[in-house]
This record gives sequence, structure tokens and C-alpha cells, in this order.
Amino acid sequence: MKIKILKEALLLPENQNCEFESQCKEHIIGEIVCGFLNTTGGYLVCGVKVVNDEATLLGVDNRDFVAVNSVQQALQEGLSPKTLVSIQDQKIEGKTLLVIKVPAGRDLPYAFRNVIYLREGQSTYRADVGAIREMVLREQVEPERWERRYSSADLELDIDKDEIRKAVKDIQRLRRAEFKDAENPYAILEYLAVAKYGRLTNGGDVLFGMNPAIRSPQIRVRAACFPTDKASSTFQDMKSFEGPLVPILNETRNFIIRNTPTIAIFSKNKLQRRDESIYPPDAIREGLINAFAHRDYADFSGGISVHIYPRRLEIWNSGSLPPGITPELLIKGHKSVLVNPDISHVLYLRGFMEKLGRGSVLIMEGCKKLGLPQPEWTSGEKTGVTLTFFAPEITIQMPSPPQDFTDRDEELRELQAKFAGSTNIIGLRGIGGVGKTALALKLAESLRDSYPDGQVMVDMRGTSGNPTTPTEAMASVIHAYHPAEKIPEKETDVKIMYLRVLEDKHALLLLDNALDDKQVLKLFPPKNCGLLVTSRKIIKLPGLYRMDLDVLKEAEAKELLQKVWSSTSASSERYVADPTWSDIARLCGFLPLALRAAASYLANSEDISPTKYAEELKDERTRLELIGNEGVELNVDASFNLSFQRLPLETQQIFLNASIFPADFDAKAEEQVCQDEGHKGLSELLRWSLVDYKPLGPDHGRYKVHDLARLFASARQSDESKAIVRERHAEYYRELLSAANNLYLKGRSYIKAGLSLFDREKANIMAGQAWASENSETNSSAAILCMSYPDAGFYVLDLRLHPREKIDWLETALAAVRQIRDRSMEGKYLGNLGRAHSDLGETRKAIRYYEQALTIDRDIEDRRGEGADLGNLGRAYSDLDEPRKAIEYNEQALTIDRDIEDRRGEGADLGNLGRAYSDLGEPRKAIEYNEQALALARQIGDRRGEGADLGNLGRAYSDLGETRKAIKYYKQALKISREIGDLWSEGNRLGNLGRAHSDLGETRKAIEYHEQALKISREIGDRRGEGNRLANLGRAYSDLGEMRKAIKYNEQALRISHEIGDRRGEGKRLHNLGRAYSDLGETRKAIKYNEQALALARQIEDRRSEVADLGNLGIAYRNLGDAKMAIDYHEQAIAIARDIEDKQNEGEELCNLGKAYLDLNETNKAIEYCTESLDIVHKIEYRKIEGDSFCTLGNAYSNLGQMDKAIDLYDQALKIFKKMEYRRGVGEAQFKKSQALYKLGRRKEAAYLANQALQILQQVESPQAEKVLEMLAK
Amino acid sequence: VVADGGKMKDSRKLTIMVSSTVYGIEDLLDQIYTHLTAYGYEVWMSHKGTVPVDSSCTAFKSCLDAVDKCDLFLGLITPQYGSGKDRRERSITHQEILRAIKLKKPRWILAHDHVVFARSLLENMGYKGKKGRKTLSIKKSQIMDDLRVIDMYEDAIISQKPLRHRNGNWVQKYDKNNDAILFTTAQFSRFQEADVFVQENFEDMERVNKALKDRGGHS
Repeated sequence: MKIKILKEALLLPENQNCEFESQCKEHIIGEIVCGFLNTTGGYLVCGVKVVNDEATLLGVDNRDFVAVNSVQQALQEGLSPKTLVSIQDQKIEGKTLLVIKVPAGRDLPYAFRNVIYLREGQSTYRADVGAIREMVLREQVEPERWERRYSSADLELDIDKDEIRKAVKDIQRLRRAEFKDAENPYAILEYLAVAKYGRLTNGGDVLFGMNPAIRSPQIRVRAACFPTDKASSTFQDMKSFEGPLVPILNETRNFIIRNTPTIAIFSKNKLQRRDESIYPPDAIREGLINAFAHRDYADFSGGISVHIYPRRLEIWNSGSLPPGITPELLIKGHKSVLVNPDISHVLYLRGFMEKLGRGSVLIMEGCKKLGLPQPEWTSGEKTGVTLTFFAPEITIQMPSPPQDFTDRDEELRELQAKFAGSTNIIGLRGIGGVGKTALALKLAESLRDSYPDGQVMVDMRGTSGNPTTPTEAMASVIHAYHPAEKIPEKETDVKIMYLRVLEDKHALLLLDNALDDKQVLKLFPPKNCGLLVTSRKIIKLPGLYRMDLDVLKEAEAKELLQKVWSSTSASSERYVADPTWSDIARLCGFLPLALRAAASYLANSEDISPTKYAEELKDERTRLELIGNEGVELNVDASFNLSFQRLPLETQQIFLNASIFPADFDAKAEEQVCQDEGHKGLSELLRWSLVDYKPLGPDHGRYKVHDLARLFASARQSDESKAIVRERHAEYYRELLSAANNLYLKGRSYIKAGLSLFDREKANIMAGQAWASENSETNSSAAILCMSYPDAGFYVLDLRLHPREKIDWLETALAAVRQIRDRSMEGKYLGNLGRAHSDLGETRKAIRYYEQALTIDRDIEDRRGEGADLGNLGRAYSDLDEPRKAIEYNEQALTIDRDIEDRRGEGADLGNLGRAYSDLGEPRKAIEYNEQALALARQIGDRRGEGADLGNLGRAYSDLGETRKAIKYYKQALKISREIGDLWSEGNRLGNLGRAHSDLGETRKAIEYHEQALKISREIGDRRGEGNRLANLGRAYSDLGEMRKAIKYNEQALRISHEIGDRRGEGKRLHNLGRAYSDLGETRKAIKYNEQALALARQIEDRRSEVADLGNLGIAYRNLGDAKMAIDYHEQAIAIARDIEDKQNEGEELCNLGKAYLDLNETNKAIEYCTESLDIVHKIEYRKIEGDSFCTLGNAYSNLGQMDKAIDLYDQALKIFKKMEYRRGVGEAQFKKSQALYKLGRRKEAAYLANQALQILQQVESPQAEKVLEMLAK
Repeated sequence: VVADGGKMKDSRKLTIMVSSTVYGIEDLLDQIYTHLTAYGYEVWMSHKGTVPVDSSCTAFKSCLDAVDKCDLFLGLITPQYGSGKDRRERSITHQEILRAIKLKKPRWILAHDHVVFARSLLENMGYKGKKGRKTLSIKKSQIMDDLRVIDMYEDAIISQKPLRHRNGNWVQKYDKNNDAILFTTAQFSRFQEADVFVQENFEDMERVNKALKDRGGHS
């Protein structure tokens, strides 16, 4: 055998002093060892005969380790000073060889059996005197080693005797030394050269001190275990060990073993596996011993630390590698240089340091054996020596997620939580380009620690013509771990191998772009593995958690755009307005693929600004092209095409057809519109994720074609075939609209069903109508559709469309009917147009439409139509506060309806007449008409009409101050509303009831009603109703003196009025706000609101409101102390009220005028106006003002000092208020009366009454209560 | 292949008696033995069993006889006093040193720092001289087991005589083994070199002493 080969076999480093001895003679060995010690160290191999370059293995007598032990002891005894020399037997080709490793000595000169030897080349000789003297002198120059210096430890108190005993036991077991006195600790320490003259050396302290760290803190070992591979401040486990060296060495080792997982090792030849520590324990031990033996102990800031990370282990010690030793040499093996020979010697004797100069090689081998990456040593003067072990390399055959991956934080967290829980199979489904793979990769990256045995991605080619077969997929997984493995032929064998490879392996598989369940099912890994599947199709597997990946949220989409754009843009423009990004994101359908492409395109097109780009993208025909394919592997079009091409022709057509749905739709619609029987094609599209599906219950849900997919399809369909499908679409949704309307008319729960049906399909309905409207001029079926749309959904549309939208619909429908000259429909739509304008407060315009309708209906002698038109006109004039004119029209209408025996119409006319007489301040007449209407409705069984009439009666009695009676009627009406399920009117009745209770001073009850009403209005989306309820609530809170709340409600109501174009309502809200601010004492603000209200009322010719606004302004100025101005406003109000014969307001304003004159102390004038007021309101039985006027008169007489008269008047007011149960009024009148009594000196009575007033005012929570208290305090 | 590198030129070797307690300094004695042998002396050291022994008398007597017979004397005073025939008698090492002084043997004495330090410490505390220390007793320990090591040291430096009468009072303090080895090497490797010189001056102790004094050290 060549020496070189032998050296390799013995793992001896090359270029090192090496001596071969055929025999094993102690004295020869001793002399050579001594020579090595005194020079540069070296190796001695016994049992080999070397001639020239050829080595003959002879072996040594090694029975029971005789050779080793005898040599061992000969050296231990014969060498002086005692030092570490390692002796091992190694078997090569059946022969036992003795390998003795000798480090270069640190305590020169050494002698063997009292003779000092030296070595030069291959020879050993006795040192002569000169050489010895030189050695001695050289030794003197060396500074004393730290380990050799005396420690301050006390030999009696500070040493760990137990540790010494253990050392002795170790040494004796290995027979490495013989102690003369094994019981005497001090003798042992001296023998081990760590104590002398009663003093322990530092080396001795480190080895045997009870707690050497007290004296030398650098001795502590710190060990920490971190949860991630990045250095972080949080650790899972952290320990600091201190004590004698060997125990802390063991503790450190245990810490490492405890904190590094054991893993299953797959043995290559047979599909077997075994559990082993992730790092070879021997290597860890070796690494630690090296650190303890070779560290720099002198430096107080030094130490040893162990850091355990999931993927690596670092053992660090202070100091540097000995001179001449480099990390490269460590890897190859090197000569041994002892940094701390005394400590090392003891470690050696105890069996801890066997392999001098070869520890690093053994570490490397251990790692290699376990398939670990090569460990690394780094060393630096100041940085210390670090040995890093690396965990088994993860088989990561998975690319990293895109750099600019935009956080799908929510989804990622959800999936991570799933993995943290019991789920380990995740399916990501979604349209092409939605970012399934990117998310899967991101998830995989975040799960590396959970799957330490690797991550393998397999492309399942689900969208290609030849998808990956399960066998191919399994083979690629097997090869990821065992590249050379031969794959069996039979699939079942492959499966067995596949499962064995993954058995107990914590690996994560990503099956990307899977075709279907079948393809994936066969690849089910064992439980310990994670499985991620991405697919455009629905994958259903046992235990699989499926996430349907939607497009990005707007904010995320914008972020992605910006990220991609700013990372690649050459443009100096760094700021782009947010709305532009929003536009682009929306136009890209929030689809990551499109966003990425668009942002890249933009970044690479310096001459196109984002704003311009956004503008250009708006053109649907060129959008896909414009998004382009920069920065993406596949453009959007191509990505869709992958799925599209895989579809059967028939299904392709269905996809194209389905793309005309502008919004989500249900299966039934699709069946009809796309002519897809049993929506089989749709289901197939869903499997391909070309449409999206949101289940809403068993077997029903909503489908949606992604916006860009829609464009993709649209580009592939001819205009002709598009037109055909769109017509079917428009037709279908016209029918649906009609169905919704019918549901609504059925009442009860159907109302909501009808409305929600409309809401759900609004986008489709609107698109259907829009298509019909666009094509009505050229396409006769479109024209017919266009005409029928408004009528189909009359009631529903009334609630759901903004009057302006309604007007649009009606105008196109009108144009269509004019085209086909359907005069009857023309009249009807003109009427409807009128009503829409009336809703907008454009009463004059409404009247013009009604008049046109009237002309047509008269022309074609449509009497029913004529009646309706006249009725509409009547109502319009009512709105314009021209009750006489209103009555005139209504009477005409009544005549016609009676003539043609349209009883329903007749009822409506009677109701309208009632309203008009109410407006005229003739409540008795109003009641008369209403009762007629009611009787009629009952006669013909018109429950809806009956309800309306009862409501009107209620209002009339309310006007009469007969609130209880009013309530009775309202309740009846409410009952009917509920019976027929007319939610809309139910809301109105509740509102009426609320107001009635307000009048009774039962504000809390009123609020309850209003809130119920509000809930209903909101439920059915009746915005107008909602506004009214909010305003009512505002009034109620105003009654409670909670002005801020009142203002809040009115402001909400105002917003709604504004939104729905209800200008009449808007005016009323402004009026209320004015009043509320007035009550708050913020008079200026009150005036501002009232002036706005007044302006609006004048604009829309709402004269009744004009009166009220003027009145309010009057009150406001009175509050400001400007009675003259107040008088001016009140007089204006009175003039208008007289003009429109609004007796109620006339009476009220006269009373207000009276109050103003009272302020001016023109008492007589005040009495005059109040009396006039009394005349009017008494006649029209406007009780509330009647009471108020009595009160004001009482105040006037009180001013004049006519207390008795005043008291009489107060009593009259009280009588009225009490009858009305208008408690607020009662309280206030009692208060006034008590003041009068007080002035008369009838104090007892006054106090009694004031107390009563207080009680009532407190009950109705009137702010006036405080004034009473003030008075009582006096 | 072991070559013999350091043979003595002269067949007749000088004998050197190494006198010390053994306990605790075995390694140092081993080294001293090695060095002195290497320098060509015949070393009499009880630790090594090289002291000529007369089987008819006690070991004590043999040792004192060896002092009589040796050419040179190297004494080591360590913190361990060693033992005599009984507890109260001077230890054999002490007796050997006194004998060497009495015989005016060319002598070299190494004293461990503990001893030198303890003496000056006690002096400064007022316990001067053997008498001064009489009242003191020491707990036996590895640091020092008997105050008589100080007596031995004072005997070696001939402290009871006035300074001018102190001849051959050369005592080298040492702390670590290295110090002792350096001293040994320095003193005795030169003697070996100047073999003739020693021969010539063998009868004249004063000259030997003087020659030694010139080479440094203190007393």
C-alpha cells in the first residue's frame, strides 16, 4: 500500500510530520513522541513497515487494548512535563495500527524518561546542552498562559470534589493514568498539573471549580434557540450555563439535542427510514469540545455561545484559530496545536478529546454521512471562531414568489391559520391570472419551517393539451429527493415508492395548475405532508380546504400597480394621482395578471402618462390589447385562451354568450339567454373558473364572468350574434322585472321578495332596458321591449328608480310608442312622466305632461285615461296650493269615473277631494269625502283604497284636534296595511301614528312608532319614506328639547331628500332645521336655514311651505327681539295663506302676529289679532291654535292687569288642550295661569298649579319645566 | 533511530545532591533531574531513588551521608516542610541543608515564593525570627504546612550571622517551575561547560562561591 493511500485511510493530514514504526516499543515511541513535542508535533503510526514509499501493514498486538494502554501509560508516566498525546488503534485491512498524535508542545523542553529528545526530518536525537538551554530561554520569553496562571479560587472551598471524583473515574476507566492517591483531591489536581503549591490554576478552576464564572465570567456558555432563521430578539429557549467545564459541556450538548428536532432519514437502497438527530451528535460534541478546548479564556469579554436556528446551528467561541490554522486546513485535517494544553490534557485523559487535529474532519464526515451540507468555520481576530452546522438541505424545487407580490394578507393569514390547524391540503381555485400560483408560492415560502424536508412544485399542465399524468407527477416528486432513483413501470409501484419517499417526511407539495380531482387524487401524500393545489377548475378532495381566489381588492390592486410601476419605471414622474390608479385598477378588473402587465406597459412607455393610459383603457374594444403582455409570461388574452381552447366548441359558444351579462346572474337566466339547457355549459365554465360562482343556498347561486374575460369573449363574437343574445337578455329581464312587480303587488312578504329580486337583477334589468333603448330606432323588437320596460315594473320602479332614471326610461319608451303611434300608451307614459316630474317637485312641468296626456286621451276618447289625467292635474294643483283648482279637476275626474263606473278611480277622486278640502281648512267636508271614499272602497273590496281612506280620515280628525279619533283611524289603516302586506303604506301609517302621539305629548311613544316606520322604510329601500321618518324623529326630539339630536336627524333626512330629488321634502327639512336652531337659541343660523327653505319653497311654488317658512322667520326675528321684522314676516305669511285659502296657517300666523304685537306692548293690537285668529281656528276646529290663541289672549289681559279675565282665558285654553290631551299645551297654560294667580296674591293656588304644570312639563320633557322651577324657587 | 547527542566529554561526573521535600513538586523534580543529567551530572535525588543507600543504616543517615559525599548541593525549600523522625525533630531536608551549610558544600538553594513571602509578612507583623514565631502555629495546608520552612529558609540565608559573615548564602526565590528550570539551566549548564574550571577550584569553596556570586542572584 502506498503511504499516501495509508495516510488517507487513517485520515492523516498530508504534509505533516509522520513516522512509521513496525514495532510497538514503548521507549522508541516515547523518544519519537518527545521529539515531536519539542519540535512541531507529528504523527506516529505503529504496526507499519515502510520501505521507500511502500507501506506494509503488520499490525500490533492489540488484545484487550494492551498495546494502547501500555503505550498510553508509558507516555503518561515517562513524559515530563505531562502533556496531551493521543493514542488510538485503528483497523486497516484487518490489522490494528496504533496512531499516536502529538501536538507541538507548549511547555518546552519535554523529556521522556528524563531525556530530552529532538526531531529533525526522520530522525530523533538527544538534545545537547545548547539546544536545551535555547529551549529553556525561549520558553521564558513566552508570556504565561491564562490557564496556567493562579486562580483566586480557594482550594478548600471552591473546588467541585464531585467533579474531581468523576474525572478520576473517567481516567481510571480509560486507564490513561494511575493515581498514587486517588482519594486526595489536591494530589489529583497536582497530578493533572492544574494546582501547585496550594493554588489552583485558572485551567484547574475552569475544569474543577465549583463555579468558576464567579471569578471569570467569560466562562459562561450562552445557548439560545430561535424560532426563525433570521437573527431576532425573540427566542424560544435561552439558557446560560455555568459550572465546571465538563458538566456545562454536557448541558450545552443536551440543550442542542433538545432543541434540534430528530428527523426521519430515508435510506436510499431500500425504501426504509430511520429517525436520527438532525445534526450528528458526535459532530456536535466534537464541535463543542473544540470550542471549550481552544477558546480564548483570557479575554473577559470572550465566551462560548450556541445559537440554534431552525435551519442551522452555530457554535461560537472567542479567540481565533491557532496560528497557521485556517478554515481551509480545518476541512482537510491539520496538525494539532493546543491553545490550552492543560485543559485539553485533562479533557483527553477523561476521554473527551480523542482525535487531535482531526475533530474538524470528523465533524465534516458526520455531516456528510447524514447528508447535511458541509459545515463552515469562520474565524477572525476579533470575531472569534464560529462553527456552523446546516440543517439538511431542503429540497426546494419551488421558485420564489414574485418580488412585488402584493399582500393578499387576509387570504395568506387564513391559509396559514388552516395549516396551523388541522388542515394540510389547500386548494386554490380561480380564474387565470388571478394569482393562484403566486399566492401558493408565497404561502409555501412562509411554511418552510413547518416543512423542513422540502418543498416540491409539480406543473400539472391542467390547461395544456397533455396534462401531467399522475405517474409523471409522482416521478418528479421521487426524483426531487432521489435523483437517481429508477421509476418502476407500473403505476401502483410508483405510488408505493412515492408514498415511501414521503412517509414521515415533512414536505410540502405544490401541484400547480391541476386539471381536475382525478389527476390530483392519485397524488395524495401521507398525512405529514402538506399539499397545495392550484387550479382553474374546482377540485374536490377529502379534507381539502378550498379557497376561491377572487380578484384583488381595490387597495391591493392599486398597491400592486404602484409597486410594479415604480420598480420598473424609467419615468421621472414619481407621483401619480390616486384616482388614476383606481381607474386603471378597475379597468384591469383588479386581476393581478392584467395589473402587472398594465403597470409594466406603463412603466416602459415614457410618452404615455398614467392618466392618459387610464383614459385609453376605457375603450373596451382595445382594452385587452392595451394592457399588453409586458412583464408577464402570458398576457391576459393568452391566459384566458388557455382555458378557452380547452373547451368544447359548444361550451365556447356558451361562454361567448354568457359574456353579455354585464353583472352576475343566475343559472335560469343563463339557460334562457345562452340557450344552455340545464346550464351544463355554464357548469363546465365554472369548472374552468371562466365564470365565478357564489352559492346563495343549495343549488342556487350567482355566476359572474370576469370583466376582462367578458372583453376577451366579446372580441371573439360577431355583432350579429351579440345582438341576438342581447335581445334574449333584454327580453328575459323585462319578464323578470314584470315578475318582480307582480310579487310586489301580491303584498306581504312578497313585497320584499319582489324588491329584492329587482335589487339583485338591477344591473341586468338596466342593461336590458339600455340595450332596448339604444336599439329601439333600428330594431322593432328592441322598440317593443323599450316600450314595455317602464310599465312592466311600475310599482317597483317607483320605489327603486330615481325620478330622473324613470324619466329617461319613460322618454325613450315614449319615443318608441310615438314611433308605432300607440296613442293610448303615449297618453299613459305622458301621465307617468308627469308623475316623475312631480316627484322632483317640478309641478309645472308635471302639469304640462298631464295636459298633453289629457289631450291625447280626450282625442282617442280614452275616458279612463282622461279620468286619471284629471285626477293627476287635481293633485298637481293641490301641490301648488291651489285647492279650488284642485277641487275643480278632481270633480271632473269624479264625474268621468262615475260615468265609466271606474269605482276604484272614483274612490281615488273622492280621496283627493277630501285632501283638497282639508287644505281649504274645511275638515268636516274633507271627512265627508273621505267617508264616501271609504264606503266605496269597502263596497268594492279595495283594501288598499280602504286603508288609504282611513289614513286620510285620520289626518282630517287630527286637523280637528281629535287626536284620539285620528289614532283610531290610523290604527285601522295600519291593520289593513299589515293584512295586505303593504309595507310601504305600513310605514306611512306608523309615521302618522307617531305624529299623533307627538300631538298628545307622548313623545317617547311617537319615537317608537317613527323608529318602527324607519326600519320598514329602510328594509324596502323606500328612500322617500326614510327621509320622512327621519324628519319625524327630528321633530320628536325637538319636542323633547334634544335639539342636537333633532338637527342630526333632520340633516340625515335633508341628505336623502337631496339624493332622491325630493325638493318639497328638502324644503321641509330646511324648515325643520331652522326651527331647531331657533329653539337652540342659534337664531342667526335659524334664519339662514329658513331663508334657504323659503327660497326653495318659492322656487317650487310650494306656497303652503312658504307660509310656514315666513312664519318661522317671523318667530326667529321675534326671538332676536326684532318684533317689527317679525310682524312683517307674519303679515306676509298671512297674505299668502289667505291667497291659497290656507285657513290653518292663516289662523296660526294671526296668533303669531298677536304675540309679536304683545312684545311691542301694543296689547290692544295683540288682542285684536288673537281674536281674529280665534274666529278662524274655531271655525275650522283647528284646536291646537285655538288653545294657543286663548293663551296669548290671556297673556295680553295679564299685561293689562286684568287678571281675572286672563285666568278665564287660560282656563279656556286648558279646556281645549285637555280635551285634545295636548299635554304640553296643558302644562304651559297651567304655568301661565299660576303666574296670573300669583300676581293676584293667590299664592297657594299658584304654587299648587305650578306644581301640576311642572309635573306635566317634566313628563313631556319640555324645556319649559325649568322656567317653572325657577318660578317655584321664587 | 535515536542518536546520542549529548555525551559527557569526561568520564568522571560531578555528583549533585538535590535535596527537597517531594510532595507536590514531583514534576519539577523530574525536570530538574532531566536537566542536570543532560548537563552531565550524576544526580542524587531521593525522588528518583538515586541517592546512594547504605543498607546498614537508616534512610535519614543515608541522605545525610550523601550530602557529605556529593560534589555539589542543590536544595529546594518548598512550602512543605517534610518529615523528620518525629514531629518535633527537624525534617530530613532541613537537616540536609544545615549539613551542607556546615560542610560549606558548593551549594545552590531554591526557595519557593510562599516561604520568602511568609517570612517577610510575619516580620512585618512583628514576628521576627524563630523566636518571634514561636508563639505562632499554622494550620496545615497546601499553601504551607509548617512554619519551620521559614526557619529552614533563614538557616539557608544564614540570617543569624551578620551580613558580612554570610558566605554561601545564595538562595534563589522561585515561583513557577519555569523559574526553577531557568535557574538550574543557567547555573549548571555553564558548570558543565567549564568543567575544568570547576575541577581547578574544587578545593577552594570561597572561590567557587565568589564565582557564583559574580553570575548574579542575591542573598
